[in-house]
Amino acid sequence: MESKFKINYEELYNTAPCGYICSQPDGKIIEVNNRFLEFTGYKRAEVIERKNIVDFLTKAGNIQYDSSFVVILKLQGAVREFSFFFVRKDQTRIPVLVNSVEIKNKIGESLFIQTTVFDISQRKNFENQLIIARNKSAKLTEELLELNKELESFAHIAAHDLKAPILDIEGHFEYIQDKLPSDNQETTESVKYIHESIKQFKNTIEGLTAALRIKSIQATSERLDLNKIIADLSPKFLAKVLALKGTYEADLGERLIVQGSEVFVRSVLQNIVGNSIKYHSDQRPLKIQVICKAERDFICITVKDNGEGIDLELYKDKVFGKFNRFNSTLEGSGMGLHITKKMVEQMNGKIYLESKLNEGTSILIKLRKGDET
Amino acid sequence: MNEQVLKRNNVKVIGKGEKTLVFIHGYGCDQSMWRLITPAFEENYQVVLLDLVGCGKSDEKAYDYDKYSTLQGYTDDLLEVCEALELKNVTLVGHSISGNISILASIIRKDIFDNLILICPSPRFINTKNYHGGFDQTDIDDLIEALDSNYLGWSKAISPVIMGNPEKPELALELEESFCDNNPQIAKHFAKVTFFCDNRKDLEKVDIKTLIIQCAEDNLAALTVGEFVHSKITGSELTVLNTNGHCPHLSNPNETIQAMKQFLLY
Repeated sequence: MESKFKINYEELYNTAPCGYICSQPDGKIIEVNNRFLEFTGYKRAEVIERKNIVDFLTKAGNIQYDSSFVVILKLQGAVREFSFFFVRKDQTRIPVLVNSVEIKNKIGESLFIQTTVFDISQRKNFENQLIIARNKSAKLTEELLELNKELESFAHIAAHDLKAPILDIEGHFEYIQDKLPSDNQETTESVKYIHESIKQFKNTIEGLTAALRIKSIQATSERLDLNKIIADLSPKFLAKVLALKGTYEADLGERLIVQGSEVFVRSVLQNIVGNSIKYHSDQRPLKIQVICKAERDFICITVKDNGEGIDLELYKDKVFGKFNRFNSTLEGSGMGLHITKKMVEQMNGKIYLESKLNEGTSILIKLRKGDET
Repeated sequence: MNEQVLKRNNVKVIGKGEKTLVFIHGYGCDQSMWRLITPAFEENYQVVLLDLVGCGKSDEKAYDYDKYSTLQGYTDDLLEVCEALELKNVTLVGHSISGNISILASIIRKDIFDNLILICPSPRFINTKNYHGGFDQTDIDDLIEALDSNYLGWSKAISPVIMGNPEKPELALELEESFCDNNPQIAKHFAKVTFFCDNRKDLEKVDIKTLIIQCAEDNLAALTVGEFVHSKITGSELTVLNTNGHCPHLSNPNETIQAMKQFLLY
């Protein structure tokens, strides 16, 4: 079937929805399409062999044209998506994107340059907003880093400066304690209470110090044999669990290699299994299961217990926070899970927690898979 | 130390000869901009190419915003490279802003530099009283802003489609990898340092043989700027090439080579 349209290439050229420029290698314009004339406001005779591409650029554009555009075009034969402002005859500016290709003859001599010019006025608004947003976010990031640094040094000072006085208090208190009457019920209660408070205070400082230590250690990244680490830690866990008449199982399965820091992986496991032991339930014999399996990019380690559990409805957002404790009867700094999470994250891993009050807790740690070889 | 310096500036040494040509690229690009003219000198000269820190394949980590807030930082680097290679009888070939860097270096170490070849140099880009640099402060502010737009899709725009070069496939590969591929933050900073510099007073201190290569029509460094440089450097030669633009070593490599060779003969 014959098309009812006759294709006229000149017509297509002139009405194309972008400006076409054909120029000599030095930029002198030898041909343009009507669309280009339309959007720059010039007459054909004013442009052909009278203007150079740079004549349509702002001064700033000129610098970019001469210092980058022509260099890339010359060495690479093409430039894509270069952003300029084109100056119209009435001196108004339109933002454009320019693509150019160098057309060569068979022996590699440059014959002419073909250029397309796209009006991007609408897109430019969006782009400007994007630039503003990007600059703003860069500034905020900088401020945040600065604040973090300040916070950290504050924490350092706090940890350091609180340590000496509390040790002093402890020492002096022990000294006067012997001089107190031991048959007075009230005094004994108070002494016990002060002791607990001192212990709590020291734990908090210790937790703070530990958290700062984690931040200052750059997690090394090495291939680690997870099975070996678990096999190494398990006897210690088992001994503690047996003392509570509980059971401990570690399912090692196939050989698993993770990418991370050995110190971190060990302390993560010690913290988590340690928690399972510490927060066991008096209602039933403790049961801890460690299950490892490989995923595509991660090695998953699940530590499951049947201990006291945490009321997630109450503490959902706090489990990995600093100085949060969900059990008031036992000692602890409230930093354990926070530090654990930090360490996992420093190794580019992830940590998830599921728990039901009075049923138990299950923690899933995903660590980056290491190379097999 | 030496190795560190050479790595920092991605120094390449090619060619053979008693005398050395050190090429220093200008703003906006890297050492690859010399590739059309260096082959002509490899036969008789040792050719040293480098990337200014923050450009090309230099060590970006070495970019110190304080050090490179004036051209002195770049000058010190250039001298360190020359010292690391124990160069003598050196001709410095500096394009555009690196003409200024070459000038500063030649003033400090007259003993190792024989000649200066300044391609389209400009001691100052901004117009002032009695001096026409070609630009106003607002033009440069525009430029800094414009750089944002061209670097918005930085990584994408900088890895453009490579036009086939059947004779030299290895060339295309290298280009694809990176080309004038400069960190946008650094590019902005370098633009400020470049376009706000003023080395007019240093011109008179030049005490070695100097060639100025100038294009007949150059919007970045006009002929009058070339003539100004020529008038201030005693005994300098000025060669005006019948070509336009700011990069005669790319737009007209043959004439550029010829002008350089003629100058180096005597």
